[in-house]
Amino acid sequence: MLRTYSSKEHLEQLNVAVKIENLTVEYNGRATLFNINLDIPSGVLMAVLGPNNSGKTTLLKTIAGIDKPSAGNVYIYSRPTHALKNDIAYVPERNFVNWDFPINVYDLVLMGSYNRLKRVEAPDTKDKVSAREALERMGLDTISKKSICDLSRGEKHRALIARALVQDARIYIMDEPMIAADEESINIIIDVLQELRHKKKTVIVSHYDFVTIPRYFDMVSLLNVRLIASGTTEDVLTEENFEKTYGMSAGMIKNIRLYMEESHAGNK
Amino acid sequence: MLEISNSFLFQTMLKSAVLLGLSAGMLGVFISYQRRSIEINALSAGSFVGILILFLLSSLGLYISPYIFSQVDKHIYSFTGSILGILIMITILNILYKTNRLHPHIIQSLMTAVLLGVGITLITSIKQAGGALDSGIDIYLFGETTSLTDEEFHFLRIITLTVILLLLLFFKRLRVVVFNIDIAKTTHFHTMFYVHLINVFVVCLVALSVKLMGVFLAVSVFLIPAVTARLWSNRLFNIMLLSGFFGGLGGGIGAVIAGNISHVSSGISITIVLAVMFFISLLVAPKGLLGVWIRGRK
Amino acid sequence: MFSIEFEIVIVIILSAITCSIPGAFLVMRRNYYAADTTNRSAMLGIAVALIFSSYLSSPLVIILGSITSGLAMILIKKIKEFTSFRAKGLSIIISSAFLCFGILIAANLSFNNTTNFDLSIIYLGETAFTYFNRLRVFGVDIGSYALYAVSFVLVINIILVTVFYNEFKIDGVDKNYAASIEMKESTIDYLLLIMTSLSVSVSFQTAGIFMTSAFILGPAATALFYTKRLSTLAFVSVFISSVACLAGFGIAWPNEVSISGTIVSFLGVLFIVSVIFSPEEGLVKKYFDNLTAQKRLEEYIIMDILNSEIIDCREKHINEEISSSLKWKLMKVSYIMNKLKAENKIEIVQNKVQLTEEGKTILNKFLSAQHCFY
Repeated sequence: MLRTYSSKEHLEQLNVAVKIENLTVEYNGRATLFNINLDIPSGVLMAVLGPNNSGKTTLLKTIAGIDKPSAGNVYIYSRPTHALKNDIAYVPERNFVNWDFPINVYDLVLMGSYNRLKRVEAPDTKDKVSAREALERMGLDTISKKSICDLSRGEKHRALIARALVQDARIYIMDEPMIAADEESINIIIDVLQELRHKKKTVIVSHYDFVTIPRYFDMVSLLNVRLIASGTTEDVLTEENFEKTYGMSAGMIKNIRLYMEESHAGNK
Repeated sequence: MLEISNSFLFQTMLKSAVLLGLSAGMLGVFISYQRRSIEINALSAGSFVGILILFLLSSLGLYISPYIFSQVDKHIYSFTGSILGILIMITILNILYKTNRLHPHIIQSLMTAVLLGVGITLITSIKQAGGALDSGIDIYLFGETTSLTDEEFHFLRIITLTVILLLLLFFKRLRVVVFNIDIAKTTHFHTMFYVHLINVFVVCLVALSVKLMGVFLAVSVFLIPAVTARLWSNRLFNIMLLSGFFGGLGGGIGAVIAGNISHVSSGISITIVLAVMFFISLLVAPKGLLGVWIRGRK
Repeated sequence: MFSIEFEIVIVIILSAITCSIPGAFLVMRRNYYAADTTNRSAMLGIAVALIFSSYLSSPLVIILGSITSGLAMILIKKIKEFTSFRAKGLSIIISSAFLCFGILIAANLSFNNTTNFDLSIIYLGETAFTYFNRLRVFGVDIGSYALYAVSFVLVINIILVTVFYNEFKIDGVDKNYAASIEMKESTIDYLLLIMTSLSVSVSFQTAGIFMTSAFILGPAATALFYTKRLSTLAFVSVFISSVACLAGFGIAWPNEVSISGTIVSFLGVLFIVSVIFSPEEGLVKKYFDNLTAQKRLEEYIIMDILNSEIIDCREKHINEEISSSLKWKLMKVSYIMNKLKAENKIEIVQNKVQLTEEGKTILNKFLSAQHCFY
């Protein structure tokens, strides 16, 4: 059963998990993110939406502490990012992972527990149990011995998310976890996202498909180098905001998306 | 035909080839998954130029500090030149990658050839200036294991064993770092430490490999065992061990061949043995031709 | 017929031009490994040819050399099809295997009669030697053999490029378009392969099998800093390689150092100089561009903060306030604030810092340019 926080008041009651203050990231004198101010309440599912090159990945990476900001601050539970790395589980975009890497699914998922280990310590039974649980949760237990290069697209997404689940962090940051995945994988991933919210975790997801956002997410941020709007899905997903973010109306984008998906399927 | 003689020279050569093959094979796995294996070519060319420039300086009477090098002989001096050359080369390559829209591979191939040209010009100008190189040009191009002195062998033993030990100890974290640097950066351990650790290993082993295998073939002892091992296994730890095994075996057999047949430098014989191992694996290994054929029949 | 210097210079320039023509297309097509692979694997063919003939510049050397280098490229493609390896790694393995077998054969089997032959001529090239192998017709000396061999391959290259120019152009510009009009990519691949391997095996005696890759890649990579059009790219790379040859020869010949080494070093110098000082993409220009762009961006950041009134805008602690919220040094902030004040972009009204009308229009103009639509 999907349930979203609909009211603004509810969001305001929650305390802040991620506080972004005047964040600017520049590359070669060009701003990838410009003056972003954003508060992400604790325990919400937030989607980041925007066109290509709008800085979605950069925003997520900056929150995760991977990229350094040129100006501004990012606080996580009112502490700067570099102070608490164990609180963030990061799921990279599928294309940025080297899938030729010789490792099987179980070992990949077990990598999540390395965070708790000392320099030359092997994972113990507890870690192995939690890895098994994560595999089962993501529906990967039957193929846990498979090499990661043989997985389908959806299974690759699920394996990466399972690794993050083992990490057991307070904040989950996922870069396009559902793009080009099959129906079954999307359902499992959505279920897991809901479950994470029930456990009071904060989840930040960059997502491409704005049609499904109101069903799955509590909050949404529209991003196009600057932050266009942020808040509950009802407030933010308006025609006017779309115009600002994409430079065209939602209907047109829908058509383009359909066309692109068709041509994509044709190319396969 | 081939025999393992008991002479000290031959034993040193054999041991050093095996140790280098073992450690370089293990390290090569990590390098090849960082997609940097081609960089080794450019680095070895850089070390070649470094050796020659320091040699030129010393033949001109410009010792950097004669007191430092008075105790140890000039081999250590050339080793210093080699390491300096590699470090400068790494810096130049990194600057070029960042500021250039050419593909890294083009830059690497070009810089390799250019540095070789610089090196050849330096060699001929050293000859013109009247300074004699202590050996023929073949030693720099294709390596000679017998050229190792006692101190150098001691040095090589320490470096290679340290590399092997540290790779085994830090295997878990190195695996995360090599798999995906973004994931590694969100964990609590110090990512850049491990990245630089691999870099330090690369610098030391390339300098040794240039000495033993020569400028052109220095890359083969890193790359070929790693690729060969990939044909046999699907897990990184097994691949690392297998690659070390292949490297050590190839180094050993190659050194024996080089010691028994004249006209053959050790770099050439080691590379040939490694390449033969690769082609055999390509035929019979589970992921090679035979495996594909059997899977196709099923 | 000619003086020795003139003939050698002609041979060098012709072989450099021969190499730079396929090089321009290789760089344009992003075919990275072909140059290295063809060079090194030509060694096997050369060594086999030298069993039968004792001259470096005989037709057999060219034919066998190009056959083995082509064979290496095809082998790489075939292996790549059924394994998951990348082509560049495979190319290193295959080419070093070919190279080593070649050297093994050359060192042990070739030159049965001439024992004192130095193999390093093959590796490193010795241009002056090409002069001594003369071609005679009816007893009349008509020039060195290498001159004719190189010009023959050059003519072949030029003919191939002019005949298939449209295909090259379409293929270099737009792969999808090339696929849509059902042009076979492999034909271009094989054409380039033929051109590269012929050029390599004919010009190895000038530059040696290792440095030929600089002859192939160097001019084209340098030319990319000055032009992006395919036709001009070929001409500029030809020009660059001739300049490098002349300068290299001019330095090397009187000083009696290696000619090929000097030329290749000169190509490297040209490349590095272009990387740093090229008028459009040079490091220096990029650095200053970035610096000004960065400075301007910093101004806009502060203006945007003042405009959106997120922070307390009273005059008293404004610099400290901004510096803490941006994590910038106080010096930097006060410098930019003073500059903005001097440029009349901000003003102080009732102890509050705010943008002037002029500053607001400038800021809005900047902000509307920041969007990135697809």
